Amino acid sequence: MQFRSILFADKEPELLTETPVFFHDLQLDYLLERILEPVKGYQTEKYYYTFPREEKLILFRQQVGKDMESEELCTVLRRFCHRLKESRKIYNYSLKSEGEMQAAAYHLQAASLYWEAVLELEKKLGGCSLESEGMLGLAGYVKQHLAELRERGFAAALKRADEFFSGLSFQLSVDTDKLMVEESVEFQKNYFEELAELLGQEPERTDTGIQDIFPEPLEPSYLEQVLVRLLKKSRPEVFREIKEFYKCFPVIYSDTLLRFEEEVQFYLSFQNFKLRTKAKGYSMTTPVISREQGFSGRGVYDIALVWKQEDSSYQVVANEFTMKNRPSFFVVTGPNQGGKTTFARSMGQAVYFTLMGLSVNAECFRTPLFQGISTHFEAEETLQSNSGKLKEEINRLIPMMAQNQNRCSFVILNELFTTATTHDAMIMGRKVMESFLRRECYGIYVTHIQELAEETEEIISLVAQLAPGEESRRTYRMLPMKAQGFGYSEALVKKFRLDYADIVRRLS
Amino acid sequence: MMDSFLLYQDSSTEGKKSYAFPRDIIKDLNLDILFKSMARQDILMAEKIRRVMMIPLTTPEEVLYRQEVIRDFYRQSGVLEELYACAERQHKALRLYKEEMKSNRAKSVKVTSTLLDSLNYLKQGQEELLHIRKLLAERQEGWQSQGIKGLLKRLEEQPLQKIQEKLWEAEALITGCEAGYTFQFGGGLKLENAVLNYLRPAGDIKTGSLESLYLKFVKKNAVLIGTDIMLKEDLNHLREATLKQLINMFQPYLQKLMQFFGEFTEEISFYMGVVQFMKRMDSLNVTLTMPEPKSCGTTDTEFENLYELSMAVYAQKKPVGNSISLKNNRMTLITGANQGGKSTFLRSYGIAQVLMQCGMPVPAGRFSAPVYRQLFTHFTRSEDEQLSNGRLSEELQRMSSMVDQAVPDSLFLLNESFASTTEKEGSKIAEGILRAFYEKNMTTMMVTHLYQLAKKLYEEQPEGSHFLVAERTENGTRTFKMLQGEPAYTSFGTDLFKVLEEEEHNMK
Repeated sequence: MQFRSILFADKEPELLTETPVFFHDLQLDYLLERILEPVKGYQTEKYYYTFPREEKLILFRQQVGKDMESEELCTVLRRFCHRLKESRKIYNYSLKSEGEMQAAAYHLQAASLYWEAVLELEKKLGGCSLESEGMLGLAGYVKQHLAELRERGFAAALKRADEFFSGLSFQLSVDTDKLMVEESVEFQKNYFEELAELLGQEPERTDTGIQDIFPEPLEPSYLEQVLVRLLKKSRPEVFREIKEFYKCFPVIYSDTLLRFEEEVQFYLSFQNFKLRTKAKGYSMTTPVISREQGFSGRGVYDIALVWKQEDSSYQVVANEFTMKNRPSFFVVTGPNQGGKTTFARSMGQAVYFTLMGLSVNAECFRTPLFQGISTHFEAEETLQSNSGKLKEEINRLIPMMAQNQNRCSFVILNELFTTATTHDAMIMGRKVMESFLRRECYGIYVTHIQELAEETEEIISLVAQLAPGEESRRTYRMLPMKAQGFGYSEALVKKFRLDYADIVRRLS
Repeated sequence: MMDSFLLYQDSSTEGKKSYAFPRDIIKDLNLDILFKSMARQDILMAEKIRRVMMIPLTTPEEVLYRQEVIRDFYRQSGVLEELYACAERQHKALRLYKEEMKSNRAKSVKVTSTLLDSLNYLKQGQEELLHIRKLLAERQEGWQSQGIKGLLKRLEEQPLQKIQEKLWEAEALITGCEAGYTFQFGGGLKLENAVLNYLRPAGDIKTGSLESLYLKFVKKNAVLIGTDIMLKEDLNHLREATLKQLINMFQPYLQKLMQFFGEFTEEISFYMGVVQFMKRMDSLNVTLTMPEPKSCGTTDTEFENLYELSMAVYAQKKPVGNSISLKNNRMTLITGANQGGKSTFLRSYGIAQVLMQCGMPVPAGRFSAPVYRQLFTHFTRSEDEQLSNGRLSEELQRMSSMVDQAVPDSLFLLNESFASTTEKEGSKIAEGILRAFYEKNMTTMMVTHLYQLAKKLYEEQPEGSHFLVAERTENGTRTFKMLQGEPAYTSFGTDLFKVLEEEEHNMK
């Protein structure tokens, strides 16, 4: 199979260019900004907006992601992209140059950079131990591409022109009323090297050339034109060679590699993000996708909260949960500011990363293959009247429930119908859940309404915990228990360290 | 490299640890009066003196190093004044330079003007360095201290003259010179890998008309600049780029200059303050003596005619002195009459210790004491509006933060600590603290009214404990002398009360 794409294997997907609706609710918009920081200059967002959908493709990406855990490979790829980008920049100058001679000279430089970049990529990939289908495909493709270029005589022509050109060196002397140019034959002293020595600086470590004299790449300065004119007179053959190459090889790039350069930013950015998250002391793991093993997670934390945390000594609380192998809903109740929404969000984030084929914000994560994510969070306070707000909520719910693609989706409902009476809200809430359950959705519902948490086969009640005996302190932990159960007696038990786990610890 | 090192043999004050609570020390020992007297009206000097004095020297060698420098400068105070003038000029130049740079940035002025500002500063600094070297070299024979001799030697080892010549050459780039370059053509036929080969001052360049004719018709590789404005502009550009690179190369040197003068200014300010102060005390016939520092960890403290310097400065005469020998001084309790000079004595000891540990002469006929690694003052604070309850907690909190910072061989000066509670409680708190300090090799000197505490310890007489009592003659007169002896159960506060009663009586 011919290698085509490191993100979609042999598929040609339709890339979404608009932010998915659930992004903001899960604070993925914020995270994406952080993730994309190191790959500025590339349009990588669209890849984060588009789910690969097929399990096969998710696994394909997970494999590539595992290869990318090698720092060596990342360095190789980053360097390749960097050099390719350089080359493209120069190529662009060539396209925009007005003078033919200048265009030809830029073209030669771009080709030379490209050739070296690909050569190096081939060599360095050979040194990495690759296992994923994607990366192996790439390595094979690079070999094949180089062979083609050699066959077409690209390499030889390039070498000829390049050597000719770079072998030339000139001397220029300027005083107040004249300048002189000669081809440089003997070694000349470097004033700055001598100065570096005098100042006790290591010459190798200081820049002893003069940079950016005429920084404008497309406008040859007058002085440069004068120098080229002088040179043309003395060495016409050099200019012939450059033009020759320009005519014979107008196209230099492989479309596949250009596409790879764009797509691999997805992995590079995420790998960087993953390392930095781990450096903050949080784990990231490859999720397991399975229809049979239910929906469960351990050490699941809100990764946006982690990144927003300025005080690095604060540890964001992680939670665990288990759902049996059938579509169900968690209903989370408990005190205000107790971490319920954060918990729901952390679950949503993990599902999102799973569906993207990436590592997730957890120690351990198992999930069925969801077809999508739907979220419904309370809208920001607006000037709407209460009835307006309820209407707005229902208006947002309708498409969520109606969409066919929501079959077997993951659904997050956060505080629905707060402006309705409790009784009404309870009835509506129950209906909403039932409706999603009928579509084989899994979900989590954060609410103040205890009655909604009444357990059935499909409803699991979780309660945000307070610190034992300290009703003002939240622990941000969610435990499966009856919604009415949280409160005083339990706190007392905790305070005297008399619950099961504590007694076991105290006795051992 | 280029280091001033007049305060320490092998470093500046950079990175040296100051006392943990300098503000407490300054306040409790009334050091502000001393700072003011040393610096006169000079704000720059006052700030530097304060900083240097609050960093304790912790070995006798360090103390002696400074004592030597002080002796040298005391003898040659004319040179010291000139050095201080250098430091002041350079301080001003630096401030100007920083302001220029700041306003250049704000106005986005042409690069050249920024470069010229840097060049100017460099030239000034370099001249000042040469001046310092000259000043020191002229009196070469007069220097006995390692500090000054070392500085002169380091300055003589630097190629100061050569560097100054390079700075002149840099200036010639603007005022006119011949410059030689080597370069290559890069992609797009732009100047690349340009290297400067030489700079020649303008004086040697000939502009005869015969030569121009020769260039025009014989040498094809030469171009006359003549009135070609575009070419002139580009060449200016080239010169500017050269200057930019040149100044860039000088950046680390410029940083070094700044650092040197920063350190030099601090050091010279300190010495200037000390010598100025000594001369002033001379004129008041107030004795100052170079103390004899003993190693950290030793315990003998002896002094003759030790008096309180701040009071002497304030009253412009020498107050009553104390002569005491505290062999194996580990814990000294001072009790006795109110208004008997206990606090003054404690302060005189503290001030002498601080002065010794910054290398200065001390207010005594003789002073021999160990150097301590840290000095803490815990004085009762003037009655503020706090309730006594709050005051005790403030005192305890202050003590607790001192204990956090304490290291072995610290000196604690306690003045009426824990007097804000009942004697019984206060004694108990203080006893715990004193015993712990004693155990952990801290040296303590405490002025106290806590009779129970003093009596208990006096009966016990732990090794290395001393008990001083403020002398009070039979008729109640205070001599302000401290004598070794048994703590008295009364502080004769009633004496004072009596005086008050008497005065009241008299008024009637």
